[in-house]
Amino acid sequence: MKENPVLTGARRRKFLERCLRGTGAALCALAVPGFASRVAGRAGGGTPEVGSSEPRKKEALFYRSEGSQVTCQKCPNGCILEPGETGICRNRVNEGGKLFASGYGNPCAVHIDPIEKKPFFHFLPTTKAFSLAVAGCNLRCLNCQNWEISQVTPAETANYDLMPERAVEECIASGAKSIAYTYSEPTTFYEYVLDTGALARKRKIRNLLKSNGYINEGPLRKLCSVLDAANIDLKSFEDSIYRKLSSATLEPVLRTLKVLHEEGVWLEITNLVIPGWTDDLEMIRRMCGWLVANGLSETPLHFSRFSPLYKLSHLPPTPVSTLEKARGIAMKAGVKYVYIGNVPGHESEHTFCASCGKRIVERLGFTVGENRIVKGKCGYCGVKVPGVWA
Amino acid sequence: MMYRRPHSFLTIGILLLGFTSIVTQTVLLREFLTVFSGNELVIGIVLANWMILTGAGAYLGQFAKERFFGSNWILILLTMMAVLPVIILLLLQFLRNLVFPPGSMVGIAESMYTSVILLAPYCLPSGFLFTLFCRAVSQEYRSNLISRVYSIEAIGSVAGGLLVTLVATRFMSTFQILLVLCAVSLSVTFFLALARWGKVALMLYGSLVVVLIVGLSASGIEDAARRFLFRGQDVIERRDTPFGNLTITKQEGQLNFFENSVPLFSTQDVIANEEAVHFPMIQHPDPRTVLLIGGGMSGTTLEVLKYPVKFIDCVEINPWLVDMVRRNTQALSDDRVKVIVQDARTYVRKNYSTYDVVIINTPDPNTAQINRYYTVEFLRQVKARMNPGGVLSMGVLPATEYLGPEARRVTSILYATLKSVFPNVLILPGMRNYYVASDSALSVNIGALITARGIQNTYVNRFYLDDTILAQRSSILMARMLPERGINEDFSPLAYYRQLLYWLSYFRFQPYAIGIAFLVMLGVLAYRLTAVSFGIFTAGFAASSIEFLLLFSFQVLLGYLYQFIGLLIAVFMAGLAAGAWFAYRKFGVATVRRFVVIQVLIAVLAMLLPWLMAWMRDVNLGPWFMQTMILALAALTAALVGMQFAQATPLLKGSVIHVASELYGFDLIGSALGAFLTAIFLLPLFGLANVSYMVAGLCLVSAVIGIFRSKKLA
Repeated sequence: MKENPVLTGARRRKFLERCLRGTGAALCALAVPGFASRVAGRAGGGTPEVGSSEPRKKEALFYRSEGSQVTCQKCPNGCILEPGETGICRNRVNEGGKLFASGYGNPCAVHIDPIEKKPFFHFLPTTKAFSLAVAGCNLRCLNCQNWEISQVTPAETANYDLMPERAVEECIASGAKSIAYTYSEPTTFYEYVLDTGALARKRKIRNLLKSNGYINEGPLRKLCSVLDAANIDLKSFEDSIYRKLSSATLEPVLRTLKVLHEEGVWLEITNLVIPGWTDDLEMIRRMCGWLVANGLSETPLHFSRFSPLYKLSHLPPTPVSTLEKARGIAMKAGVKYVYIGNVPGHESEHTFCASCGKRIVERLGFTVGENRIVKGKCGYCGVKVPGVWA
Repeated sequence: MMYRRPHSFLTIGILLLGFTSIVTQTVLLREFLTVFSGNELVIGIVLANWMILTGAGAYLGQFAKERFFGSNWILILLTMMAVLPVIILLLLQFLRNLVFPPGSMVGIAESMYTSVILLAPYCLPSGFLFTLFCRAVSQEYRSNLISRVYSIEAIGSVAGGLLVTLVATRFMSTFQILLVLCAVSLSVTFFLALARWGKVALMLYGSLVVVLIVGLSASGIEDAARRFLFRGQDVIERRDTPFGNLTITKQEGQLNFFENSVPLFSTQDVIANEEAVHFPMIQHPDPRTVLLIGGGMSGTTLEVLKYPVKFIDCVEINPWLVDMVRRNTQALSDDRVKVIVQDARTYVRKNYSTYDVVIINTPDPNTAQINRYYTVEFLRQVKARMNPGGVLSMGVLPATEYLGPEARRVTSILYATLKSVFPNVLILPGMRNYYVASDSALSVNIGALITARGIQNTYVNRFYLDDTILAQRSSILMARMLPERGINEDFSPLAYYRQLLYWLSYFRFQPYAIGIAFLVMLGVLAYRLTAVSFGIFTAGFAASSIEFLLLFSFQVLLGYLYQFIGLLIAVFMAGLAAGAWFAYRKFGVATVRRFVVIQVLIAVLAMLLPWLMAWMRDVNLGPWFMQTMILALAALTAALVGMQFAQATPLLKGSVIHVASELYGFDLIGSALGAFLTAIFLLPLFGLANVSYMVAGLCLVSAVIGIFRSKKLA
């Protein structure tokens, strides 16, 4: 078919015009010197620089594979992963039908903290804990304090190179008495905890876990073989709140508490009281009732004060008197050692003997003043004070 | 008989449209800010959605069927627009805690779709109505009178804008303003309807007024809505101030102060107050005179008074906050505490007191306004007010176990900025990262110093702060500072940009998607649109971009003046109306050449902008001069855009309704993108000068396209 020459001319002109417009727009955008480099150069967030190489991987424990598909059995999320997919915890990756734990030996945060900060109040008071974390977490809490490491993969953080042997060496060199697996979620970097823990045990270094407790029973029991103490966050006593606040469920956490107790791991529990979310005193009463009924009355319970953080930034801090009421309820329910956290100078930082009521450990922040515990017993009435004191 | 003026029914209707939409826009924008997170990004999103939806409404107008024409639909839509604002307001307040987790900040995607859903029922009809008016007016007089409608609507906007920003927001709450607006709109619409609908109108509007005004104001629904926003807390006082909504709630003896739903401070917050004060105070051997920039209200004054100071000057911009604090706390009751109600920038520039310690305790630089307290220019001015050996401090971002990439950039920029003014800068990670800066040496041994000085603290002492651990954390943090030294400047607010990206990283949101999406959109528009429509699009973009740059410069040059925004918008609207009217009256037949010339003039104006601003800053001819200059520039820009709009209407082929909807639509969409992109992306990243050149470049491209096209038209 022959085209009308006038029409083609018009079309050509139209085409040229359109080309000009396109280039014009592009030129305009590029007019600013170095637009591309600026955007790219300044944008490049997330590139780690400490161990800028790929985070190390190790084959994960606790999974089942069917063909190339893998089901992770470590935590109640139970992620089913196709090759190349990463679990909810942002740590476990399916590579060719095998499940790998990433960031093995690559912690992104390594600090030395007072053990009281975790908090552990009945475990080697005033000692230091060599604390480390690998990026990732299997929960999605709206108020996460460490979201910059818990809500990313190990590939997105700047990491140290700290294989288990070196971690233990560094811990000993620092004078710390324990290694704390903390900050992010240690059960997501499970294999690293397990291996480091076993080595630490041999060198008389204790292993502390600060965790959300969202883990399956099998992996937990295995982990208990290296653990000396655990502080578990019991975020609320209502399944619906667990779902909304943390994208998790309550049941597995309660099971974790029972298993740790059974396995003889020293246990402390933290309950963060968030205004409007977890400050229902009736719920706290039920929670404490459950603890006592399940043999956890001697487990120290820390009611912790909330500060506006991360996505829950439109809430005020918890009023101190709410925390005091919660403490009163817990004591009345039969929980023997109840503390209030994040309220400096509060008198419930001290330990009072559950039997005679006298103050046996005087705490001020991370220091201990008077300590009347003698060989694990109250210096006044001689009743055993649960905990690991030396 | 030929009248060139639309008769009163239409004129009043158009005025009402301009009036109600500007009032509703101003008020709802503030309310979105109150209920969601209050940074420019959210304002930008809401504003952009507003304009895009209105533009879409106007654009859809061209597809309207015949039965939509005529006065009935105009009346129906005007009635809708009278009633909807109050309902949207209540929906916004009630839905906030039902749809989103209570107390959580609303994310970027959520802000986007929520504002679209809530604003669409208002904005779409409002744009649609513009097209209907254009058609009605032009049909009645058998001539293209779009520019007249444009001018009349702008006049309505000027009146509404002035009234709401200068009068209403000072004396009335958001809810009251919208209720009054509803009453006014209904009365006017009733007046218009009376002639056409007779008794039906009387009954309809009578019952509407009774149900709405009496029902809503008597039912206490406003209180209920506000309380719902703070569930679980007793709202003991709240007030809409020109600086934002202030609310005090009480829980168990603890008082919480909120500004726009974001906690400002709470009583009993020992850690925050002690860290903010003692980290810098203890560095000074004998602090006598202290300046608190923000934060004085939270009780930091009581911490400062633990030292033998002569006086404490507290600079706070919001007088209503000062009043609330005085009535509810002891923070300001000591004789040595003097409150200065002023913008800190103005105060520091004009005052001649000198200080031993200056504590900047304002929120993080996540708005352009607050960023002004973190720029190198401001820090230099503050330093000029400091005695030899003086100490300055500020706290930005929560201190965490790990410095994420975005937090790292913010921290590095602030560090570099301070370092360019003070030889010694120390970052102390407490609950927040505190930056302490001085010409004298600084120490990290806070606990030991506090003990040595005998200061009685609850938290900042050797029991809670292990100096060795603090030193270790501080050095880990400082070692992570980026070597490239971006500096936060007034006209290039890098810290603000980085802070926004930090905020976006909460939601794992890719901001560069916005930039790329815009470039693609620009390319498509340039390719698809007619030269005239593209010209109007770029003019809209340039106008709102320049308007934002002017507002921003005003903030930088003259300090924060909330009321000025209303004035500037009014002047801008008046400029549009005047420009359109002038072009219509004086230019006669529209030509492509004139269209192109105007486009080039806008480009020239944009190019001159950075030079003018720098000149004004350096010469400093006094506030009145600067204010007048900025208003004049706004008026000039608007006049050019108004002229261009008036010129464009006859150039575009097609029916009046088609032309009106297309031009108005693209004008608004261009404006939306201009404001949004300039505020959140272009200005913070590239700085004032580069953005001005980009805007000029865009206008020139559009002019070139126009020239190319003119041969065909001729």
